[in-house]
Amino acid sequence: MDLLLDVNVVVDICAKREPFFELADLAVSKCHLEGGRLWLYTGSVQTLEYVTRSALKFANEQAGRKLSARQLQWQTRQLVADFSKLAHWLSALPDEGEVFASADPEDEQLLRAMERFPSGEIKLLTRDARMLDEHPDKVISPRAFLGQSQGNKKVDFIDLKAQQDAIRPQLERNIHRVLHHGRYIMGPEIQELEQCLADYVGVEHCITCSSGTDSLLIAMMALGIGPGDEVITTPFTFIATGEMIALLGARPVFVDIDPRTYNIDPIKIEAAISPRTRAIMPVSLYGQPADLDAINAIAEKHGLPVIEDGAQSFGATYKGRKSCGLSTIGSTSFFPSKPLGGYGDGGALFTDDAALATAMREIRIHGQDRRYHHPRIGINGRMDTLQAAIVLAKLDRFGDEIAARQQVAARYNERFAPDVREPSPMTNEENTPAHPGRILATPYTAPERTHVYAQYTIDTDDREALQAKLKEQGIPAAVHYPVGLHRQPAFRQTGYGAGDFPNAEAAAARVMSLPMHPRLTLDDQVKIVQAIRHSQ
Amino acid sequence: MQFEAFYRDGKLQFDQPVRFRRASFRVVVEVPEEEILNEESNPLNNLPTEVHQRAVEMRKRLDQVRTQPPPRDEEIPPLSEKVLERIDAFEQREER
Ligand SMILES: Cc1ncc(COP(=O)(O)O)c(C=O)c1O
Repeated sequence: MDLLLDVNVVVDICAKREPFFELADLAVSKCHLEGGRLWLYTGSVQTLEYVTRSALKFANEQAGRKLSARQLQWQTRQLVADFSKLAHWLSALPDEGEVFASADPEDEQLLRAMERFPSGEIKLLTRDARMLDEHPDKVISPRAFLGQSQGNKKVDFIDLKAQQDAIRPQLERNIHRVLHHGRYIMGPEIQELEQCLADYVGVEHCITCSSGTDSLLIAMMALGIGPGDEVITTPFTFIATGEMIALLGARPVFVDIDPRTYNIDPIKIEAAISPRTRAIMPVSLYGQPADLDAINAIAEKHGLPVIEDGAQSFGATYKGRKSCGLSTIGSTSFFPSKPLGGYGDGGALFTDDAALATAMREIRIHGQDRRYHHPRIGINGRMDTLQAAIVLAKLDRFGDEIAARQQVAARYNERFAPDVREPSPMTNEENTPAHPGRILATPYTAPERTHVYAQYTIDTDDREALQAKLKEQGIPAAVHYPVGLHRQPAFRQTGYGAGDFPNAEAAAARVMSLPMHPRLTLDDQVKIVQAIRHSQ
Repeated sequence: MQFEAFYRDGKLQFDQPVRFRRASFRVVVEVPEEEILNEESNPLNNLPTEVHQRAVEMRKRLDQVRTQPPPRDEEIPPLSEKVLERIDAFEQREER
């Protein structure tokens, strides 16, 4: 649970006010240790400074310390600034201004500020007897908070809160800027984001889109793909990849995956190429780039473009180059749970080809090259300015986030090592395992690639039982993906059936993704590893 | 049924006279939290040691900040009239 700190509690702590500071110190550290956040109300800054000052003045006098007015102010500001580093600033919103009908406007502001949190997730920490009496459901004393037990804490599958905390000032500033300039469609943040993303990936052109699904559609439209055409892709992916091919009237031609990386197996691509093939669309699944050098070589030999569906792999590298900058066109998604996620839908396209960039820009806006002039058919595929402002706020820390994800994955790998069954997984050999662990494989990263772990996915042969056991212990797990696209009813017409892609089918039956986010704690990871180990 | 009672030196006393059927029976009493000193019921004794450790660390740091010698007046920007007035005003603020 989060705590909004009333001024009296902060003053108790900063001025070490007897006899209150001890309980306040403990309440604050209990909140932190339980994963709660401390909030200071931005609207209270001045009160905070002046009341702390007056308490410090008293304390100094009691202790026989003589400080000048200036020194006292210096001491006050040092203390408040230092303490505030432990907390987050909660912005004051306009409806917290109109509090003049209230008996105590200052308290009313705090009560209203808490209304933006889901109910029960925050309380005002205070010693104010009137507040404690009048609002027992919203307000708590340090002593009562210390006596409150946390209940059973659940592990989050992904945690976007901690990331938000880290970027809140930029985030709220960026959002408010958009609210004030009011250019909600194709506002200045769109261009700024496109420039930053193009630089990040190392390509000439970036075109932001409404989602990582629309981006695939736009890319294929720009390549002129339509009815009767074929696009080669993997059956082991999110529906959007195959769906957009079919939506254009083209036929997805599936090629089985490499069982270790779960990405399309380049060796099998060539056999699937026909005179109707118009493009190859590998997916960089779970956050690891597909083998794009091998795929590009085949494509080049046959004069085909390559679209990398990098919805899950933004930020990953292949031989030192960034995902989405590895082929004719790269496509990504800013769906909230993606490594670079927004707060809604969004996506982007990347290319070094100027003509394709122009086509994709036009298709994104109803095929227009200038206002009300439409040389081609397009869609409404724009990213919202607000969404771009949000993604921009996240970009600065993106490198750190990836490093943190990789560290979390390394900790999982290390701790799972004794549980991985030998010999190595998915050889399809029914030999007796040398070591009867629960896990057949932890994620494999091919040489010269980096993985951003959009998902941390393990391979296990009794997934449903394992998942149920984890659930009992409050540990969420997910399956990406339980059915290959070739077996989805929507793709019935493609004529594929069971057994056509054995590696994809084996993966669909066995993969399970575990909680993964940059701030997953070692404690939680140990809990997850133990739960899997002892789930027999 | 609820009655108001007062705790005085080990005995519960009703300020208004009430008559009971029996000479003794079990009751459940609600005691204001802040009156309790009992070791087990004191939440401070059930806190994980990490909470105490963390609080001690924070206290150490804040003590350090609080007790560091302040710069000399000449090194601190002067307080304006406006700020001085505000300080006076805030000193009138009711302390809670
Ligand atoms: C491989 C893949 N392709 C495409 C998409 C579609 O992205 P969006 O959800 O932004 O439309 C996703 C996202 O879930 C994905 O994982």
